[in-house]
Amino acid sequence: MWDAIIITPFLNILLGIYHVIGNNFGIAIILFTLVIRLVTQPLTAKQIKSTAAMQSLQSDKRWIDIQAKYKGDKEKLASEQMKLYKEMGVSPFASCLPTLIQFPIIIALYQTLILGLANNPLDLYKLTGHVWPTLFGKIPYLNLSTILPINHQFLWMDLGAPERVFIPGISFGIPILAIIVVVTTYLQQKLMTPPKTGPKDQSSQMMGMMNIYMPLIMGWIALSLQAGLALYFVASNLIGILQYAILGKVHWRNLLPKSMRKDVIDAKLTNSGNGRNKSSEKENKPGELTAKK
Amino acid sequence: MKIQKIIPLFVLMIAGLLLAACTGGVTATTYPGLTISGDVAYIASAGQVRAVNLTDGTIPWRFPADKADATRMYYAAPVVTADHVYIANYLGEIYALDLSGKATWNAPFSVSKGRWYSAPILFNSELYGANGDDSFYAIKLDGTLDWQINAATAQKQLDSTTPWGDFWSSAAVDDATGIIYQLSINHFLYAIDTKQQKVLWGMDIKAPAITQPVIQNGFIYFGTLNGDLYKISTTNRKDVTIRNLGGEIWAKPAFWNTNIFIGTKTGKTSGKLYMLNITDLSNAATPTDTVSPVTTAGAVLPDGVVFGTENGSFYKMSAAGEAFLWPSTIPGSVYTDPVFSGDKLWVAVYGGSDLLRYFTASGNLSESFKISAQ
Repeated sequence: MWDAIIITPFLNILLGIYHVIGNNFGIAIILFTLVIRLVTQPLTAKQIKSTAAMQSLQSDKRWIDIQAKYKGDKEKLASEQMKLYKEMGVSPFASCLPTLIQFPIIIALYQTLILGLANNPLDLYKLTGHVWPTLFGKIPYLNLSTILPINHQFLWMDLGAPERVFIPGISFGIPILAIIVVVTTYLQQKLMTPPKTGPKDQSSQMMGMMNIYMPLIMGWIALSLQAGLALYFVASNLIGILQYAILGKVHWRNLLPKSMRKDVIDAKLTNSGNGRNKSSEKENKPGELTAKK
Repeated sequence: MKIQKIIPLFVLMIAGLLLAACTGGVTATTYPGLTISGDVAYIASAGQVRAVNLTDGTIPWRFPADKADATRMYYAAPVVTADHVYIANYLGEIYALDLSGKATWNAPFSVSKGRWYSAPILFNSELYGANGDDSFYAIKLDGTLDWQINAATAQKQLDSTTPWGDFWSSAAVDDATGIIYQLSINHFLYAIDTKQQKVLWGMDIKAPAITQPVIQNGFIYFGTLNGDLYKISTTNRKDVTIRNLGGEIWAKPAFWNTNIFIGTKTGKTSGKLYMLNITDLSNAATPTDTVSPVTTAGAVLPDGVVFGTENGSFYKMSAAGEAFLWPSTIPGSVYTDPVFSGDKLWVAVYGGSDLLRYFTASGNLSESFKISAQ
């Protein structure tokens, strides 16, 4: 089912591109990534919108008040947060859902690339079983003779093997592509992270963790698996940045050192302000309790 | 660490592991290579080569002995002589083992840097084969290089319009002339002269070929993935007969009596078996549809030719060209050519719990003899 509905169409689109551009698998991967990114653009746009809504909610006074008020009562805090979500028309899962939907696409892409690279006899056999000779049984599409052998070479890389560059005098290969994956993943994460709305901004904290772990995990995958997949990661990261830039959602200032960033300076100022507020909150607490009574 | 920090890390790690596990990293997995010599079968599969005593099912040795090597993948059928077994791996190495499984060369042959997808052939006490690094090698049996034709040299010997490389199959040698014929998946057949140590010519066959050619009575026979079956004279390469069988050809033809026996893959779950006249490749009998693609060459038995198919079912073709489905099916897929030896048909299995099984000549699968894939 998965194979027939997802993998086979993906593979035939990838091989169709490969054939049209003159049997260059590297460029085919880049163009295929572009196609996938364009198709999933509505999901990306929805994700951006939802993330922005969550961000603005978390900087809302009512949200901040709720956090402070029900600090010690998690159950009550959750129910009050849900009320506010409803009131503001924000779904806490809306920003996660597009990502979750994209995850199977990434897995499918991975399987498609592995199948397309066909670097042993059995993989080649499997590949030929997936190729559509015609579209809708009528229009001639792909011919095995014209697409095989798959040209794995792209720039300095063999896309069917983990990439390493050997420099004379160094006994080990340098994984240039894996390093590029780490850098572009970090850049993408960094550029897409909205500025902190406050010191207690939970989504920013989470994103901070993602900014560290995501590039490392992607780098590890790129280091261990076929260069074709690493190329997909790089293309996907760069196209992702471009997509966000077109939508005007790239936070270029995140690239600046913290000492030069206005939002960080502002947050520090707010933080010191909050310190004052905290004391005033403490002062207010007895009053609140009285009111409750 | 707070739970909010652990969750994304955990999700990312699971995602990473899922991606890495989908194909087991870059470890290539393909079907095993099988050679039988006397009462011993030699099976190359994944990180280990095994010797199997066919009389009692014991495994006298494995190479490497301790545990399978995850970096050295062996799939090329071992080459067996009276006193040695030569095994080739995906790192480009060739090892010589004595018949007790001990390596006899000081170091493996490692001039070749690409994969040995298929075995080199033995001719005049040398190993000849094309490697995944796009070079053709002549290797002495002491493990030293005799000569090689690399891509640059081959290109000088061929005309500029003839490409070179992408070798996945074993070659065949014309014993009379010492000329080796090598197919490639880049749509070419090459003739290499072992005496002059050069490429004589390359011939465009218009489609990828992944099988070993067969030389029979002065002609070279082979099939391509677009279904063309070729018959080319070894003395005059313009004397060519081509018959398109309408399906992909994944195995070499078999010869029995005065006919050619060959199978095809016509679809994901279908194939066809042919008995052809050796003279003009015309049908000698009505072709038979099979329940699964024909993935192996025919093994010639005293009373017929037996073919394996992808889903583990087997067909036997009679001298009249009638094909019968054997009663037993092997659990797993069959891509490796079966070998008929000692009144039994030995089959190396891919993707099942067993690696080696056998059929009796009447087509019954032995339930007592099983060599586990582990």
